[in-house]
Amino acid sequence: MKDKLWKQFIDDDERGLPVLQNGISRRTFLEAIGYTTAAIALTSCATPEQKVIPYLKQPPELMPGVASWYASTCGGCSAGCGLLVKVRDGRPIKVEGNPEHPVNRGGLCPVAHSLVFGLYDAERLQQPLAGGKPSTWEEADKQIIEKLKAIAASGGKVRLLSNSITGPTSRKVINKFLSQFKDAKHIVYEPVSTAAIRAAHLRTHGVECIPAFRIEDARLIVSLGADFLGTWISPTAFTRSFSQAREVNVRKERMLRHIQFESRLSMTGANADKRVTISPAEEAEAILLLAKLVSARSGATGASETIDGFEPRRLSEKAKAAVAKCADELIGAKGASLVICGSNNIDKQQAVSFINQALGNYGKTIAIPAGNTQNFGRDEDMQTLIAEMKDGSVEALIVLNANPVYDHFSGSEVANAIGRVPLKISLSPVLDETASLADLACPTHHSLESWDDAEPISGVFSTTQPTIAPLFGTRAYQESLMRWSGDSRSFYDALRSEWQAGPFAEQTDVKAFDGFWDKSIHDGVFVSPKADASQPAFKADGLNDAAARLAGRGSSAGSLTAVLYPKVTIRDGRFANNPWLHEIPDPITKNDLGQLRLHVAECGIKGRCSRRPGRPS
Amino acid sequence: MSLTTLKILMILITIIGAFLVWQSRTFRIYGDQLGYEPIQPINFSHKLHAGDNQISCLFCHSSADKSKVAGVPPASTCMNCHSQVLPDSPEIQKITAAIAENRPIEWVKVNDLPDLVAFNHSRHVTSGISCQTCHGPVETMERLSQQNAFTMGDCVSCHRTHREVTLDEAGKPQIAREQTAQKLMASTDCSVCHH
Repeated sequence: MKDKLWKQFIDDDERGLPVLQNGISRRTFLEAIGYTTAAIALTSCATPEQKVIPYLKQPPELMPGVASWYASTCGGCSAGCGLLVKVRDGRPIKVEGNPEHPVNRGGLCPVAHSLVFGLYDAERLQQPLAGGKPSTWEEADKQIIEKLKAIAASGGKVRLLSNSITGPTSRKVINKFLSQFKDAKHIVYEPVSTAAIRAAHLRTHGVECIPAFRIEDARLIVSLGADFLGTWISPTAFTRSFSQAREVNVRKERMLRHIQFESRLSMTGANADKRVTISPAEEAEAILLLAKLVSARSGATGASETIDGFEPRRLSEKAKAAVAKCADELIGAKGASLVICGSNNIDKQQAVSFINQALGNYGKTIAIPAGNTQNFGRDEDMQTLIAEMKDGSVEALIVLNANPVYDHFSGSEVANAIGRVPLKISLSPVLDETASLADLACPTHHSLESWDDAEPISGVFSTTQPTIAPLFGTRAYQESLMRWSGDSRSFYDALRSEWQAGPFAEQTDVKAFDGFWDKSIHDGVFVSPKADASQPAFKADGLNDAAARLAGRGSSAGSLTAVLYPKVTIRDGRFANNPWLHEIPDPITKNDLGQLRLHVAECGIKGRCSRRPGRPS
Repeated sequence: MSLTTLKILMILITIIGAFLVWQSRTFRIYGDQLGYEPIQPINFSHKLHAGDNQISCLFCHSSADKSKVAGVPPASTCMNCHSQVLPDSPEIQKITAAIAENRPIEWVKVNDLPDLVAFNHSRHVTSGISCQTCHGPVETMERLSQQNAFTMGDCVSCHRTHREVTLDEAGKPQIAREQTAQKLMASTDCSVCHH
């Protein structure tokens, strides 16, 4: 006992009670502690002084304590939903959907509802960084302009890497900036890509676009693995259309029927009238069989010999029967049906496009080129960029919001490739995995602090207005690019002049531009009255090759197939540090915090699921 | 312990106890700010404005009947009159300087409620409760002080005193001084304030 370290300071008194060696008993010691604590507590018992800071000149429309609502556009993803931002005492505190916005018509997804958390995120950069150290805008601009001038003179490659940018004015600013250089390119990268739909429509209709899916006009929707109510392209808009089409009322002949073919149980699958489980390896055959049956029944045979003579080899009997029944139903709903596919395989999307064509859906439930800029990443551009960076030919890389080091399938390869670029500039608001590799970080505003516009669907011009003065020393990325291309205007002025030349000229209702601008900002959206161009015709060129490639696809026996899926809340992971989104349980797995790895019972992996931690900081 | 020590101790306890009862305002629980009278950045007199010159409370605290907060007036409200009245006074010069420098005036908050209470001024003002009911005779104060402890007991005792309300010629509610059995106003449900 005595050899214990603390025991050597303690003696026993005559009664055998422990006493400290300098004669202080345990009781005296505790009393002293008690008095000290009480004394400290008493002296700190003053209520802290609070300040009331009124305006110097109060805007007449504002009243302290009463919230105002401003129309804006969501910056969460590229769907471009309209927001109404509740602002009280100069601070945005809540967002709701704008009921008059044609994209979301009042609906909002969890990401949008949690948007204010991104604004007050403590991880946001508060000033420009040069070499990881705080700098000033003048210093950063000076350095960047000097280096860019040298690159412009030498004709080196300049690449700007971003996520989908829906704003036409922002895209013009980017293009103007890039036009200074001989070899410059804007690379749009989306980690959860829908590039195959765009590429397939380039093949079938000659227009590289994501068409407008009009679920509200359909009587039957068949989805092959597309989680359109959860995460696919523009889930809020689709959910609104879906719920509208599912509404039962006396005037409606029939409500929308929904058939879902998928491997994992998604929120969309859980809402389906009929859900058929197929493995990812069966998906190609299911599409081809559906194409064969639909084209045979609708007299669209002859487009592809492979489809006409297709016989499934791997498709289970149950799935075969389900596809046959689905084809019957589709034929019954010709021109009022919709087949969509969540795959990012161009051949599959081309075959799906053919099915829709055979059913006469183009021009009815699918519109081209009411194309949109939602999720318009191009996968091959990203691969080219990685190759170019690897061979060291890229002189300058400017990254805006995109974070491929974290969310690209070969993130470490991207990180190595970026390391070979001599000038790396980040415009992202946080120091994420990609931005932390940059030589200079020039953080942009949060979308709730920014002026911007968006044209998510052609003809729908949505406005973004600031609902709070910038919290930190950040600068709009458009303004940064304008400075670096010798334009000293504010982005607000650029936006106004673009709108005067663009949307204002497309309408005749409002004669004065100021009135038009105020109305557009007030409403949050301007819908151009210009009619859509006529629908381009379907071309079957290359369909047979695509079908042949699909029919030849196989998976070796005994191998495992992994399906990577975005979570409804944190999506591809970019919202992994948003506490609200973490705390919402997943609608299917009921799991909050992180992402689950789900196993098929027969696959032989021990354990049922595992958590993937949030974005490491 | 000897008897003498005990006697001295008892006398001490009695004296301290009597002092505590007599001077109870000096010793009170944390958060009780009754009588709090901080020095303000500008030596503004409510007595001069609301008392001597009979300016209505709502002239400056214009959102009291429209918002949850009464609102401290913006500097421009002061200058509505003071651009003409006493513009050379050193206190007015402070406001002029604040406007010129675009530096808001930081008043010290006198009456404050914890965030767990959702108090709404407009609800009370439009029901005919006079400002003085809670804030005391503000029109007599040179420097504003807190005249009500704003404890839950203060709120609830008023909410419990159900009084009859009649409307006067102008349609404004008039509250009878007598207590009636009729439950006409002010609920004491928890969620009325704590929501």
